[in-house]
Amino acid sequence: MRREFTWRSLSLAGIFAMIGVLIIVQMTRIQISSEAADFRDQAVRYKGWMETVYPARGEIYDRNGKLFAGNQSVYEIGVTLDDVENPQSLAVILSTVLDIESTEVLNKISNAGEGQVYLRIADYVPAAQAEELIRIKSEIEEENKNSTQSGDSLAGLNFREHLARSYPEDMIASNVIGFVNQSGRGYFGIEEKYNDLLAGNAVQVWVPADPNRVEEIPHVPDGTTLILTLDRELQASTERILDQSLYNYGAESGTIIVMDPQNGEILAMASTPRLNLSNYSQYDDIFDSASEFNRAINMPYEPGSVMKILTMAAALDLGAVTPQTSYTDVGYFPIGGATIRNWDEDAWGIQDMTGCLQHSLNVCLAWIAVEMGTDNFYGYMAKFGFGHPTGIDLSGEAGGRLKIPGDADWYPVDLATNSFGQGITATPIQMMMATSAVANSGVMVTPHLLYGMVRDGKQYDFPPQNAGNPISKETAQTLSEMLANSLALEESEALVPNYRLAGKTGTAQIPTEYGWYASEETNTSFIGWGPVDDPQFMIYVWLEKPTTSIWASKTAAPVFAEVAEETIRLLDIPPDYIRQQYASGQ
Amino acid sequence: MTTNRPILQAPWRTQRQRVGAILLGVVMAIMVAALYLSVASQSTLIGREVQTLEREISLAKQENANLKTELARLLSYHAVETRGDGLGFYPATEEETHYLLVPGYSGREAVVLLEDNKEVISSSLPYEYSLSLFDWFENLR
Repeated sequence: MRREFTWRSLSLAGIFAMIGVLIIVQMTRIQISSEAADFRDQAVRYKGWMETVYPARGEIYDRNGKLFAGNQSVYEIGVTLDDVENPQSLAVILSTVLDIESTEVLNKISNAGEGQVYLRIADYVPAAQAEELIRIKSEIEEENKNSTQSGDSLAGLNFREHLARSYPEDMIASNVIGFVNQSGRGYFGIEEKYNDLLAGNAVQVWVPADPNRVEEIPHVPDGTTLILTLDRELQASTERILDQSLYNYGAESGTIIVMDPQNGEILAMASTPRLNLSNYSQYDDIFDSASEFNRAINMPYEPGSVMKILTMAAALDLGAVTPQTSYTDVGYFPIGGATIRNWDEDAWGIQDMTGCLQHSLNVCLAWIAVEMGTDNFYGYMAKFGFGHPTGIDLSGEAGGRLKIPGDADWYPVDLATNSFGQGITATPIQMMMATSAVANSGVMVTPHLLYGMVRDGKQYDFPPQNAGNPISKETAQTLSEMLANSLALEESEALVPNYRLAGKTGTAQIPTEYGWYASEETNTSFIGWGPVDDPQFMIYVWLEKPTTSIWASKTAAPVFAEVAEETIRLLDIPPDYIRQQYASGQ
Repeated sequence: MTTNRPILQAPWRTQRQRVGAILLGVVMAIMVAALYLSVASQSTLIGREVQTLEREISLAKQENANLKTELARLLSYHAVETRGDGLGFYPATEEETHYLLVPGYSGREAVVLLEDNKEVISSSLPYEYSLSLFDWFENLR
């Protein structure tokens, strides 16, 4: 009996030992088999995966906290290939909802690579469309549960929600904001200039499949939120006025900038054409070149007579002339083998310097530039920042061109033509920066759009930056008075009742590609500011090729007045007599 | 004459001790295994909870972003203008505007998104860096 049990025990032990040996043999065989590397890869794959955690892109607000750019959920839509039951119905339903060809979807599914598990059909699908698909999918699943026949099926369809850029204001300030493409990179404007700040830093984390090894995903701070100096209401009003002006005056395109001359804050910057940022794929249909995206900073042009402000500022500051200096205008001024003539080719007789500005006399300004001398004139123009970008915080700013003595294409006549804004190119924002010295008691301010930023739970506000003192305070105040008087004396259409404003028109012929000026096409501009005793806004208007009139006094000047009225209303600037009453304590 | 007689334990007693030792070992092993299982399952549950909470945080952030965008669309310039027009509002004309002196009011100021944590960054371009050589000589005098 006992021996019989021993035999049984030994047999069982032998069987177990054999199983153990077989397991070890099989393990060894697998380890050295040709598929061993695949198994090892599979093991590594199942262990976990690397995931890139992208921070939410920083938001962009206007100065009053109105959202210009935020984020919203969109969906990536794809299929798990092994789970697809009815590719035809899947393709038809996707094509109906997502506006893509059903054959395209079918081809993608049938041409999926060997071993491919997941196929992306579309990304950045708006929530409404994705929710429609989710609804259809659940309805079909419900129908199929209650039916024995196999019908339509959206089995295998997957949805992945993620954030994408949203622009609640669509077109307002689009030329300033720019846009973000599907790879998350900012293009144009603020989105490009501050792309690194807005995007934040993506972090790669290892996500283990084993829950025992789960670790907290490191905190990935969101991108920096920016607060701009723009005022949304003023921006929208300025854009509306610009659009209406293009229609009224038959202009091709235009730009209007509103800036606080005391600190360089840009309150509004309108430019045409504009892009609906919620549909930025239309970019190619709207713009012929990148420089058209924001003419205020990208498009240098010959500004014409608005430049006379700066020539006069330089001459007054140098002491070459005083407001009372008289000049006898004979209608022409010979220089360098060429003859300078007035806009009306007429002689205006004896004029003081205010008269020269009031009647915008080319001959007078050419004489002033010659009186100053080449070195002094170009020295002042360099101090005003011509020939260099202003440094405004927008991407792609152009620098314009200031030819100086010594350049191969500079001729003595350029001294005269430059004095009244011909033969020199500048962007509207350069003109604003240079002229801010006149409006702001001799201190030139750097135009900027960033008011502050929110990062790591703190708001940081940026102080304004001065760009130099090209002229003295006395010169600036004298010239402001002269410009205000000249506007009043000519009963300019730029005037706004009850507000004393200073400013100057600029009608510039447009140089052709052949080197001469087109006779019937002009760029009309106006730069002005107010109230003269305490300037709170400065406005630049540029209308390109207006057709109802070629003169700035009939096109750009009334547009300035309209924008000034809107600015006064929206910034709550009281009329001069009320301010003076309050100032005198009444 | 005395003889030393070894005291032998009864065979059943030795067997019982061996069985007891084995049982003790088994019980200890079971306890360790149970403890390990308990800790492992708790750790797994917490791990899953961490994953769920992280997902919830992510969803809450998305929801927050969606709500901000939705609110901004409802308060967008054109939406407000359309509602205002519908309600009969229009921009005030100069004649309809009255100005009052409000002591202490210095005009509209830009938004403060974080009231308690506001700092003004000093100019990124110090004054000395913007001085020309002539300005520097001027300051020396």
